[in-house]
Amino acid sequence: MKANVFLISILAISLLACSKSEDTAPAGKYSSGVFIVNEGQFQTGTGTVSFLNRDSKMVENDIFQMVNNRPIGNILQSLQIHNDRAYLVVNNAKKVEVVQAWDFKEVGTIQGLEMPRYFIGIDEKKGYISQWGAGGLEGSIKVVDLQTNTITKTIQVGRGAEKMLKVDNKVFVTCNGGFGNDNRVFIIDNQKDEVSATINTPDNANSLVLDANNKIWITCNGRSQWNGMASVTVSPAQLIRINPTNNQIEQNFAFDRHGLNNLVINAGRNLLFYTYSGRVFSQNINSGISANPLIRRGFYGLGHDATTDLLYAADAGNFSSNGKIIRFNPSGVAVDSMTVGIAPNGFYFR
Amino acid sequence: MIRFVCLCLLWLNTVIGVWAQDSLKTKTLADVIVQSNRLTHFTSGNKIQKIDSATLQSFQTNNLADLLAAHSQVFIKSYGLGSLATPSLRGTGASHTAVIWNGFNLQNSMNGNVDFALLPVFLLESVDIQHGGAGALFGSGAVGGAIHLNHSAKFGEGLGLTAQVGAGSFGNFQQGIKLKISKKKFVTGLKIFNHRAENNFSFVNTAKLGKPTERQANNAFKQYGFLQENYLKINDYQQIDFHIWYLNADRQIPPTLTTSQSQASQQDESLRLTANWNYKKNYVSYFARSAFFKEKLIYQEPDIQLFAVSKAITWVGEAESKIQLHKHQLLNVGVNHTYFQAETDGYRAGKLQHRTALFFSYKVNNAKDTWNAVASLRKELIDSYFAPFTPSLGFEGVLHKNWIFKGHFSKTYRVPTFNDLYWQSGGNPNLRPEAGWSGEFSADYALALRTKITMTVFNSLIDNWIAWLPNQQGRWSANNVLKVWSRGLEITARHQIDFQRVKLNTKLSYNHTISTNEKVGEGNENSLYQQVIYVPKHTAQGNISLIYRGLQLSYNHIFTGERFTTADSSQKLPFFSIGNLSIHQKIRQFDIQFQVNNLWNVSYQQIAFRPMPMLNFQAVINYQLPVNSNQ
Repeated sequence: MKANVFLISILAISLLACSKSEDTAPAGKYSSGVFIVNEGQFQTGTGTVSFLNRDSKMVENDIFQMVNNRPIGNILQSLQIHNDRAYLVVNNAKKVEVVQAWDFKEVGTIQGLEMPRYFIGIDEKKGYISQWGAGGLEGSIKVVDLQTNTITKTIQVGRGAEKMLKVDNKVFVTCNGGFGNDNRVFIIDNQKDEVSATINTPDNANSLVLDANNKIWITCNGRSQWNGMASVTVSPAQLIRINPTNNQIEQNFAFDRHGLNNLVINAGRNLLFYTYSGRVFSQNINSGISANPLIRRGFYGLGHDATTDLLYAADAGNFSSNGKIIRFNPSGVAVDSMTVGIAPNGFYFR
Repeated sequence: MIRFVCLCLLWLNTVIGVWAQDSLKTKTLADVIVQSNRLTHFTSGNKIQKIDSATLQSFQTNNLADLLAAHSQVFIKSYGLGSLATPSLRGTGASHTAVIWNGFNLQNSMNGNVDFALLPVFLLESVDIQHGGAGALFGSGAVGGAIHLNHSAKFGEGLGLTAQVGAGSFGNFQQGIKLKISKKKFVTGLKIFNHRAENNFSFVNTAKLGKPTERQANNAFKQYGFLQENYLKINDYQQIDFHIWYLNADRQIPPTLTTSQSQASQQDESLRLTANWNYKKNYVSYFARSAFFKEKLIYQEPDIQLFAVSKAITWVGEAESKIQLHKHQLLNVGVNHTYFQAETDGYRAGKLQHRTALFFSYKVNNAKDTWNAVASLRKELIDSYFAPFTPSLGFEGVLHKNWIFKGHFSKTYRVPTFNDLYWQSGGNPNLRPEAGWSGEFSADYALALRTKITMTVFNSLIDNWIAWLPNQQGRWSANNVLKVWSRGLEITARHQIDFQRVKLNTKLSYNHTISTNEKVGEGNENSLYQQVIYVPKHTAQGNISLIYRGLQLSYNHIFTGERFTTADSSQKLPFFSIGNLSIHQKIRQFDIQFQVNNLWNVSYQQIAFRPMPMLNFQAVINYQLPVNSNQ
């Protein structure tokens, strides 16, 4: 009898808890802060997610393992939050782990992927995952039913489908060539889930952002070749600006060598940051390439936090022991740094 | 029945025989060719463990990695059942243990490694583990120690035939035959074996949602091979021998817990030919030997269209001597020339290297042979530069009737591998050899041949340790960046109890190894003074066997302490403790063995995210043709 009373009260409490969470947006330990994506050790390791509390400046490492008592999987490529769920794209494990964004509790795994790279939420029910395909020489977008976490459709795009950006009902997909080369940006109609257009770009577009004027900026890495001693530039990097209404390239900034990546934009959407040739540069959307770098060192990933107006940079170190993140103010002066997991490559600000 | 009892006694003798070898007296066996000249006559002060023949007999269906993991102080890193297994001696790396087969180093010229999972115990005759640096005697790679695999022949023993079949869990089947014809002046032998295993063991996938129990996929193992040996006594002073050793393995490479499926596979093929000539008259012995090794490795990963072929050829010519200068002084002078050639996707045009080494040892002992000392020197020319000059000094002496003290100091070095030098991209042609020294003291305590305790302390330093690290642009390359300091303690204790017709042997060992990075590359300061990855600070082993007539019951327990998996000690694998049970019964010419591996059904990993099998079984039947001593 006592046990029954106990059970009923437990049930009542849990019901209460349920109804409560349905009414308000779920809150938890990770409701507000910065998620750091750590790729983890190549081959045998696991990716991890670190979480930075902006107020306490404390970093909690490997929160997925702590909450779910298991590793994420080999090479965590990216993290995206959509509808209060975090999507962890795990490249070498060929899957996407889905967790509740506020407390990181596991809810599902999306499988049937080959070298997945990035996730983007389309609406309540649908998401896209870009992937390089088996062998890294194809590229496609997998359409995911977010209620069942299953793949419903495959849209073929260019080699090395990489980062995506949704503008109205169009999704722009950069193709960085995967293990080969490509020179296109694909545009997908996200209502029909079909390719509606392609834009020819300089070689190997990899990252893109939307500016204050609703123009899209894209970094194109250029092309290189290994001559036996060093990587030699075959085609140099270029930063381009696209008008999403007519899909035209409106502006084009050329660099000397290949190697341009990690494009991010500030809160006002008028200042670009990117890495080139072992340096970090900033560039106003109304001006050209700056002669002097903002920071005289390269990073494995960049992020810009609108809340604090700080630039976050990921230092992957030796790729086999814990990396660091360094925070910079807008003028490129380091503010502080924290130790995170192995091989940090990116951020998600919440 | 009488014959049965005799056989049992003979067999027990081999078990117990090894206990009785504790004097410093040089063991001279008539009519046995001793090819291991330097190991036998010019090693002093090193801790040397000989795997006894009974233990070898009970590992006939296992590989060298299994044997050493259970019965030696060599730490074995195994990537899984049937997968790559490499040794670590005294806190050093996989390429810091030389594997000397009939006097020739088997370390691969491309990666410096020997895969112990591909060395079947069935083909081996003796396994001796020399702990500590032995660069002066055995050259490049003998840094943490050397493992000696020697073959020898006894003349005039008649015909010997052994046939063996084994079966075990996870679709494991093995067949083997050993044939030996031993005449007065001629011995020929052939060992053939075949091994197939699915290795599809069950494990809990702790990395997946819901932690499902899965079967290991893409993990099949196939290996066959033979070893053919011939010994000929030309006259009273001269003997020659030839060995042909061929191995062919085809393995699938399973996924890790954190990756998804795998389609990768690896094919290893090796042919090894050796020829030895030995002249012995009065006070001098001469040895001339030559070897030709051809190795081929194919690694395939259809997922990423990878098909990589690596080929290596090694030619060795060596001559050495053993000269009795005086009643109590021995001298060894030798020369070695080795030619390496290799080609792989990383250096398609192929690379080659010539090494010439001069070596010299001098041994002195007292009249009663209660103490001896050996001084050795080695100088090696690699193409056009010299490896560090390598001296060593060892001594051992009976201090008291129960106590023997030993000490050994040696410089050590390791020549960069072809991959370190030439792999594109990242290979560094300007690499220098790793160089270091190692020292040790041992005390052996023996009581009435029933109790024996060995305690060893060691200290070693390896500078210019070659590591692959990325620079700021993320480009990986090989550099002489690390300096590693290893020190520790090794204790082994054995005891034997006889109770009427029951014999109880126990052996306990414990290793304490601190191996730290004393110098690291720029940007890797987090790993400074941290324990080297995958080197456990604590390991322990216990073996207990009970022998009653033809029955032997053995239990082996292995404890491996936690190991860091990242250079900054931020991630680690927990300790594991596993047990193995083996039951042997001799019935006439048959020897029946049943093994229970991982008796306590422990889930563990030796390498992060690579599952190991839980409880599993193996059975072996061995038939031995009665020896016809009348020839």
